[in-house]
Amino acid sequence: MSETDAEYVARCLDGWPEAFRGLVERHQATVLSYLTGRLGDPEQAEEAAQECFVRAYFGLRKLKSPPSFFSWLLGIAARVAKEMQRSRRRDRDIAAAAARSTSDAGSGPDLPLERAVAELPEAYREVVLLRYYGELTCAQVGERLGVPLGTVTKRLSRAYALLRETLGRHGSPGQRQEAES
Amino acid sequence: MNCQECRDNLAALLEGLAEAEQEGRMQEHLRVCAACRAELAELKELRGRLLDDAGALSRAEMQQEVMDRIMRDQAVKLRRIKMKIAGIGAAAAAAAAAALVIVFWTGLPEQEATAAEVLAKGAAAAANLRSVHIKCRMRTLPRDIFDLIDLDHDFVDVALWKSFADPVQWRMEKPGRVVVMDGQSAVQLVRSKPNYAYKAGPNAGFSEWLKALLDVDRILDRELRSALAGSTSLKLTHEKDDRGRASLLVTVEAKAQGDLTNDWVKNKFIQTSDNRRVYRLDAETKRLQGLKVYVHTDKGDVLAFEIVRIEYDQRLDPSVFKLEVPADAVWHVEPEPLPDNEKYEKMTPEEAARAFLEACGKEDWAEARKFAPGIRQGCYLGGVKVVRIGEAFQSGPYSGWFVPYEVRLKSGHVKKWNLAFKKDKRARRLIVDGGY
Repeated sequence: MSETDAEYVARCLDGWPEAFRGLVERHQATVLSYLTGRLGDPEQAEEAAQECFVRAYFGLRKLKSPPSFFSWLLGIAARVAKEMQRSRRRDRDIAAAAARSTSDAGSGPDLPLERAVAELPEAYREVVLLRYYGELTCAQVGERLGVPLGTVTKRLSRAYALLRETLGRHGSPGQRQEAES
Repeated sequence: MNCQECRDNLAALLEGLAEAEQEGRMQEHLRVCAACRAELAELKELRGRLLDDAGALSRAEMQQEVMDRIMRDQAVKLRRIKMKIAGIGAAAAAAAAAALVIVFWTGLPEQEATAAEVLAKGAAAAANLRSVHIKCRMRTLPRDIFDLIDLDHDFVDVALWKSFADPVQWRMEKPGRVVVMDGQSAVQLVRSKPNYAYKAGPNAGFSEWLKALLDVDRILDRELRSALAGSTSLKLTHEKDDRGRASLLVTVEAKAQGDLTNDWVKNKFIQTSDNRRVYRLDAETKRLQGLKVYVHTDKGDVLAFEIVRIEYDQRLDPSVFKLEVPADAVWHVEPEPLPDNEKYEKMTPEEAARAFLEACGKEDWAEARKFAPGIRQGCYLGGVKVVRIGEAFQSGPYSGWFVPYEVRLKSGHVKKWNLAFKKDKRARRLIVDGGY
C-alpha cells in the first residue's frame, strides 16, 4: 500500500482528481459488498457504489478527518442505499432482484452473507469489511481504525458470532440458495 | 478459561495472532468443550465464505467508470461556472460571492477556486481583442523550431503579433526564424545560409505552444479546463509593484505530457517538462500582463520562458504581416508518393534511417530526398559512414519515431544523435522530421 487514504485525499484537494482513482481501487470491493448487503441486488449495488464514490469526490472538502476517509465513505454509502431503497418501485424491482440473485447464486456474490454483514452494528461491520473486502491484515485494520490489535480480533470474534446467528436464522452456511429463495 | 473468553479470542486463533500462552489455554479449553469446538469449526467455514465472497468482489473494476463520471460532472460544472461568472460581472461586491459559487460548483478547494475564477475572468477580459503584441524571451536556439527550449542556452528574444480584424493575421519571430500568416497563407523563413522557406495554409502553426499564446483568452481558458480536469493545480497570490499597481498571480503546476519512459524529449519543450507557469493579471482589468514558465529540473527550477510585455489593441503597422522572402531562399517541397512508394511504405523507422543515411553516404541526393525532401546537395552528411543504427523509440506526445544513429563524417568526426521520422499521410511513407 503505497499511499495512505489521507495522502490520496490531500492530493485530490490539491487539484489532482486522478488521485481519487487510488481511493476507488482500494475501497470499491468493500463498498460494493456493503451495498450489495444493503440493497440485495448486485446491479443496484454497483450503481449505488459508483454514486457513492462520485458524491465522495465532490464532497471531499467536507471530510473533516482525512484518515477516517473509509468510515466517512461508508456513511455516504449508507445514505445512498437509503435513498435508493426509498426511490425504487418496491415490488417490481425486488421481484427482479430476487430473480437475478437466485440465478446468480452459484458464482456471484454471496447475498445472504453480505446482507448479514451490512446488518452488523457499525463497529463490527467496519472490521469485517476492512479485514475481508478491504483485504487488510488485522494489524492494518487496527491502524486504520486507531484501535489496538486485541480489540480488532475481539470485534472480529463477536462479528463472526453475530453473523452466524443471523445466517443461522435464514439458513446455515452452505445453504445459500435455499436461504435466498 | 471459560467459554466466553474462548469465543472472544477465536478470531485471534484463526488469524494466527493468539499469543503462545493464550493459545495453549484455548487449546486446553477446546479439548474439553464440544460447544466451543463446534463454534470454531463453523467460524472456519464462515471465514472461508467471507474470503470467497471478497475474492469475487475484488475483481470489481469500477474505477474507470467512476473517474469518467467525475470528469464529465466537472465539465458540466465548468460550463455553469462560466455562465455564473458572466452573469456576475466585475462588480467588486459580487467577487466574494463569485468565489463561493465557484467553490460550490467546482468542488475545488477555495484557494484553487478563486484562482480558477481569476482565470475565467482573465479569459473573459481577453475575449474581444482587436490586436495583441507580445514580447517574450525564451531559452532556445535562435534558428531552431519555435517550440524548442534549451535550458542550457541563453535567452533569445521572441515576439508575437496578432490582428483579430478580418482576415486574421499573425507573426512570430525570433532572430533566426520568422513566420507570417498574412490572412491567406503562412510562410516561414529560416534565416541561414542558404535561407529556407516554407509555405502552408492559414492554419499552419509551425508551432503549437508558442502560437497558442496569441489567443490569450484561449490559453487562460485552457488552464482553467486542465485545472478542473485535474491535470494541473492552481494557486492565487497577490502582488503590488513599486507604483502600487496590484496584480493577481495565478500559479499553475503542470506535469510533463506524454509517455516519457524514454525521456529524449523531456525538457526539450514546455509541454514535455514538469513546470510552473505563473500568469500575472492586472488586478483591476484582469488582463494578462505577463507569464513566467519555470521548468523543474534535477538541479532546480530554471526560468525557460517569459512574457515581458503585452500590448493590447494597439494599431499594428501593416508591414508586420508582410514577409519578404529572399530570392535565394530554398523552398520546402512537400513530399509526394513515389512511383515505387510501396517499397518505402513498408520500411520500419530503423530501415528508413539506414536507407537515408546510406544514400547520404553515397551522395545519392535524389534518393536521400525521398526521406528528407529538404536535404541539399553537399549537405555535411555526404560521404558519411553508418556505424550503428539503434532501436526506434517514442517519447512524449510526439507521434513519430526517433531512431538513434551513429555515423562517421567525412571529416572523421563521429556523430551520435537521433533522427525523427514521421509518417507523412500524403506521401504514405516515413519522412525525416529532424535530427540531422
